[in-house]
Amino acid sequence: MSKWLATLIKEWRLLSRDRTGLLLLFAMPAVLVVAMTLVQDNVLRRSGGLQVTGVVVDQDGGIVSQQLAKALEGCDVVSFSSWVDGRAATEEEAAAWIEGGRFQFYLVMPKGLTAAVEAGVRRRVDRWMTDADTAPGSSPAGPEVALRFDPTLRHVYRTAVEGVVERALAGVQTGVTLRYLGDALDRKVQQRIAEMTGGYAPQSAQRLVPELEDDALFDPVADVVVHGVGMAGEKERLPTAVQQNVPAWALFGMFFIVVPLSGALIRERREGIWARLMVMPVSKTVLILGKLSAYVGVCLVQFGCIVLVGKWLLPLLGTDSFTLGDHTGAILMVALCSALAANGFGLMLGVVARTNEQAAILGPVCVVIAAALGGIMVPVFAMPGIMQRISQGSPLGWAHEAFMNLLVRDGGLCEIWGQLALLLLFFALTLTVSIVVLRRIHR
Amino acid sequence: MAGGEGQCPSPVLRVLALGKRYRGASQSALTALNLTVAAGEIFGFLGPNGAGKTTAISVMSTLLRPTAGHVEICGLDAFRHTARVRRLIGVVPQDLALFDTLTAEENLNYFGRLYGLKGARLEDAVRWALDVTGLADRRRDAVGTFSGGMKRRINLAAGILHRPKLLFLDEPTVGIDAQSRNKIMENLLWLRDQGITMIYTTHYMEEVQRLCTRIAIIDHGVIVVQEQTEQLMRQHPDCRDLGELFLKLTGRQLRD
Repeated sequence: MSKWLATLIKEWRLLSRDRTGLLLLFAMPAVLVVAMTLVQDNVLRRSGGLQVTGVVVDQDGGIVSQQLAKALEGCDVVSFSSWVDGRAATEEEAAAWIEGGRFQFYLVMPKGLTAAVEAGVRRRVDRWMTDADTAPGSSPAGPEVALRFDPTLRHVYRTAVEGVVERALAGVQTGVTLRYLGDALDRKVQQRIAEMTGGYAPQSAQRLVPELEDDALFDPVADVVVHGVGMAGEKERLPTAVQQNVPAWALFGMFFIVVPLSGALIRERREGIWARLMVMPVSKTVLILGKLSAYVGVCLVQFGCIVLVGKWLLPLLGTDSFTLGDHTGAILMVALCSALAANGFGLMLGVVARTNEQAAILGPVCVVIAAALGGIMVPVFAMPGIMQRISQGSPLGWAHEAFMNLLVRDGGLCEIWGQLALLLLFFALTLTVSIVVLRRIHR
Repeated sequence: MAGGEGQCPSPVLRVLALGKRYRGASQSALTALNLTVAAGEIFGFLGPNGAGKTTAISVMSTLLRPTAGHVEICGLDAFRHTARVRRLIGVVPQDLALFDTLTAEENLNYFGRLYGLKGARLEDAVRWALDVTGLADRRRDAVGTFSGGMKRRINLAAGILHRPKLLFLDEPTVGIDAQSRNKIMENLLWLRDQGITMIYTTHYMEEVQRLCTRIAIIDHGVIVVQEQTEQLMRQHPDCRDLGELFLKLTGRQLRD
């Protein structure tokens, strides 16, 4: 115990005097988490979380365009503004705003939209009433409601905006159709009665077919209700930039422990310190465990510091605060298993690499690749299929997935045991390789 | 248990038919080495570059396992009772195997803990080692700030901290000035008088003549000659000094 503790204290002392190492371990991930969160905070607000904003240019001014604009302005996910800076926008102004980045799209309701929609609906309804061909292709082309997007706007956002506009336009057209249909049906029924009675039945002053309301569209029989995929079913936390980035970049920083850990081992081997230790009455196991314990402790401190950055510093910069939720114990388990995996890799690198230069290049490159594959920078679902399969082998991916299950999907230990097992297995494997190689060195 | 406790039967070191071949090597680094060192001796181990000195020291100090033969230290088989033997031996390696960013005291405290020393015993041992090597007033300075001579002295201090019965010194004075070398040799003579037996390797013949009662010359992994220093000189009256004798026995060809 005493020898293990002496080794742990020695490692902490050495690390505390390595300013470059401390900067790499603590300052780098803190800076990364702040920078990446601030950069992505707006992006996530415009994608799964909050609004994409656009301008409505009404060149028509009729009832259809007014109803369409009203339907769009009531939308939650996509924000439409007909009035900008206190007045109605023109198409030229809207185009300039897109270019300047003030808005992400604009919608143009052309002159004559109302007249064209009403004429088209009347034509269709009259054809229904006369049993004529009502195939969509048989009508002349309707007016074009144009959508123009900022070229950099991602496809997923464009799809969302198109869907909202199409739904609103379909609602307005359906309202117009129902109105004409109700009137046309009433006329048709009265006409048929007159025909059947040979003209002897008086024309009814009252409508025989009631006016068709818009309720049929806006009060549907079957409803679509959106549920979250949260494991607890009750609570769902929004995947904000803070909730995503704090654990992601904390993991990234923790895995950079490979640099000082492998560097320390290589230095000890090259400067004869390891050989000195090997002729002392202390086992390799104690020395390695002491070293690992020290560096795992550093990783956990790193994690704690980044959590504090997320809870206190980021809100001061205008973002949400990082929330740990109800699974603090499970979160600590993930942090511990991640620290073990990172340190196992660092130990293996320190034993296998022959020079500091080899370790200094190989370590960070491996960590960056594993981070990219693991979804730290780009979500896994956005990768090509083959990369998604490869990403399943990334320790950072396992840890990140575990954090997302806990912090965003509100899962518990049951949902993350698989990732924890993989991290521990990785640690065991790298530790085994290290011990085998160390034994062969001094045979 | 620190190495300083208890008696160590003589011979302190017995080596029988020691052999070592590295993995993948075409030739053995050591072949049939036989050696006996009595208590209180400073035994010189000489040889040209690549002769096998460091390999012999590494095997005898239990850093490497032999491919053949047997090493006994204080009556114990070195490879059957490794942990016990390692408490009895100390090593002063050729490399300055110290943590540069730790102080002299911190380095010795750490090594002392690994030797099983703690509390007051550890404090006494550290103080003693620093006093012997003349570094007591620099105990709180980082080793990285020491001169070459001071680093060699603290390297020695780390090897004698636990008062070993047998001390292996692999070229302990390489790269330092005459004053520092003189100081170290004085320390070694004093330690011999305290009962520490030593195996000493060096390329400096004047050190051998001053310190070593017996020497062995090794070449190509085989001991060429093993004798008391003075006796050896008498056997070769044509050689003016030990350096000439060494060249006579090992040849003048460069060992690249």
